[in-house]
Amino acid sequence: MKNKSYFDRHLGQFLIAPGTLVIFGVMLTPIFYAFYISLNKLTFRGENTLYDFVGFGNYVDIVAKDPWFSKSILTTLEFTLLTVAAEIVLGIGIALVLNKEFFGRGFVRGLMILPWAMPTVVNAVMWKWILNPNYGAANGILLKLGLIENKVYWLATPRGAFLSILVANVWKETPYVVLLTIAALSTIPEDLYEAGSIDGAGGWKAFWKITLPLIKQVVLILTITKTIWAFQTFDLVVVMTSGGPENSTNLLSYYIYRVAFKMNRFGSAAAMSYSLSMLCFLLTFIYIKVFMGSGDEPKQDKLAKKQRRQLR
Amino acid sequence: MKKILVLLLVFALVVPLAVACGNGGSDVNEGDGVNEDIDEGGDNPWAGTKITVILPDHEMDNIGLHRDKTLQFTEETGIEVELINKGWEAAADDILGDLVTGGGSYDVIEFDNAWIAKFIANEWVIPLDEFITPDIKSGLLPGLYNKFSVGGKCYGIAWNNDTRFYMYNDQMLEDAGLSEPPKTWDEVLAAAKVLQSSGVSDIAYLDTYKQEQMGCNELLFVIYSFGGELIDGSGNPVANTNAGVREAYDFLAQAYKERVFSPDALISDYEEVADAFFAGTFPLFLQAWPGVYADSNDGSRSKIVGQVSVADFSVSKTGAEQTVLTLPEAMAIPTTSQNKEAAWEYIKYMSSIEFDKERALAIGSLPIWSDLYNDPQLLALYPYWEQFGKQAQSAKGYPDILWVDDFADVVAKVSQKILAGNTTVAAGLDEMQQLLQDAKDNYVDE
Repeated sequence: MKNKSYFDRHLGQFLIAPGTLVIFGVMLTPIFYAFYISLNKLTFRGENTLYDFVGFGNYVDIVAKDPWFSKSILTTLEFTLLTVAAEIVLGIGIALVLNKEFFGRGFVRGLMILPWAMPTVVNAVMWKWILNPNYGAANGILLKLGLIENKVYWLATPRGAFLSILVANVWKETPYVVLLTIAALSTIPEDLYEAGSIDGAGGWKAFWKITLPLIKQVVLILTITKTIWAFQTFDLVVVMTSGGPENSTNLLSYYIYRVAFKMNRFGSAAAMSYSLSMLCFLLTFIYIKVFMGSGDEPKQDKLAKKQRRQLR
Repeated sequence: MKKILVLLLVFALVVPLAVACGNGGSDVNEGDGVNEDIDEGGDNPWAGTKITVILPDHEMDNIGLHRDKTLQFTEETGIEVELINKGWEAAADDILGDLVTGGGSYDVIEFDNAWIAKFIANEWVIPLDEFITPDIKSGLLPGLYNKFSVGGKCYGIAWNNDTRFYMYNDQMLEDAGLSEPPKTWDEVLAAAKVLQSSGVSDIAYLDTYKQEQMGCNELLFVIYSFGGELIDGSGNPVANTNAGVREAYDFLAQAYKERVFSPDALISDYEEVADAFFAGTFPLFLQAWPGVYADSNDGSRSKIVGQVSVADFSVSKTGAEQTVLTLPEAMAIPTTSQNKEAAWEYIKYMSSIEFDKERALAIGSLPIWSDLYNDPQLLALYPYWEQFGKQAQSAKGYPDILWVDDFADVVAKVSQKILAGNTTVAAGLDEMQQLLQDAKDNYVDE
């Protein structure tokens, strides 16, 4: 042991050095710098940027003085909760269907992934076309079927626009849930269902008692990632609505972009970004608490952990 | 084995760094090469010089004329140009993003009419007076030259005389039994009813009242046409006290309610408005850019070939006021440019009277040189410029205020609320006034 060379002793550090450098360079430095910006008001003169330290003044201002920020937060929360719920429920439902044996299952599974493989901007442009009141497919089909009498201006009303970007997002993102849920479902042994059916568990009960508990970890990961992605929704808003009408689709990512790059209020935009991150963190924390609540770990595991801690 | 592994890791770390440094060095070497080229070329002082130009797409340039002309500029001068063309919003993001982070990426930039006060106050662009010759100063349209001049110094040379004009679809009006286009806003309301009852069109017009700067552009036109102003001569907001503003919003709210214009106005952009016009969806294009006329007669794009006319007047409150929207764009040299002389050569070339005429002939753009409005060749080709001249008796753009971005944002957002009837006109204008005042008071660049 004493003869261990310098390289041997520090091999671990050497191995993680490249990754650490990358993390510091492209992740931590911008994060800390953005926090520093959020504590300043920036003024621009020629080539110079002047920093006026205001402490948490920007954080206070975006809540107290910015007329659009609070509304944007509420809109983003509503969008996130609805889109995540819809994607998870639909995704699990479709995955359950696609997990059954039927002719052409492989083809349908392949088809399912297409929306997710589509670039978000293309998806947004496509939905904007579909919802165009004059030549869009939505009005065309509904008019021909006699379900509507006059053309509908889908994106021109606040609620219509909000629901439109919601549908566009759910359509694109649900296949990802399907994909991962199918993978999780394939790991559940068939014996469990057979045992369940002997015990009298029907389809619905088997889902709640066998399927869902066994795919819970995957659903949790999906819920967390989907929540973060929903908070980041930007392209759909840019292409389809520009945040309107009447701020109904002014999601926080888009609003931060406008504050930073249109109004050049970088301090405020950085403060909003940090608020958004905190919101993401809070929701993720809640999800973990809900999904992995006290009843999750078997009691003996908890006891064993407690004993190990006491021994230490 | 572990030592080899560590050496490989170190190698993996060092080599990219060395390559990166090497690349930096190679730029310098290229620069050295430039000097060598100049030495070898001898008589061309610009040989090897490279400039970066960022300008939005010209809305009428469907044939790549500006790109071709830029290539020709390089051939003639030896100045290599990296020309970046994008949509206006994207170009604006890049330019502002560059300038607020210290600049240095571009040698010639878009200088929008709305940015004048802000860019000059922030010292982002240089005065061009040392470059501008008397011929240029006296030859350019005075309105355009003065628009980009502040305190006796000129900061930009116009490259796009973006002025809007009232055009209409003759055929649709005739089909509805209307003998002439509406001249006043009341007549627009009446015309909409006739168009709807005759089944010709369910709307009189579509415009963009989108929640973006373009939405604010069009709202300003309506306000101006009622003789209103949102900002007074001292730069203070007067949204809830100006009679013209009140009348304009009364009209807009009523027009939205009665479907005089399409509800899609709240979400449509310029391109969508033009496409709907070319599809024959509505007859009145209240503020069309000059190229709309030519495009409407392009069968590959339009279903209304031969149906569009240009009015002698613009729509206004009584018909007496004549106001059109002017949103000229200029080229400017950022303070941080390292190639200011070469940048000026490009500006001079791209704003020359020769190219201005060539552009007008090719795509029908409005000239920036006064003399070209009397050019027989152009007048023969574009007889409707006579109508343009009549409409443009009073062309107005954005107010010259530092907080113009906040101004446009507030106006576009609150207007949507008023238009859709989710607040009364009076309450909406009170809110607009308060928000504009806050934006003005809080403006410190941040």
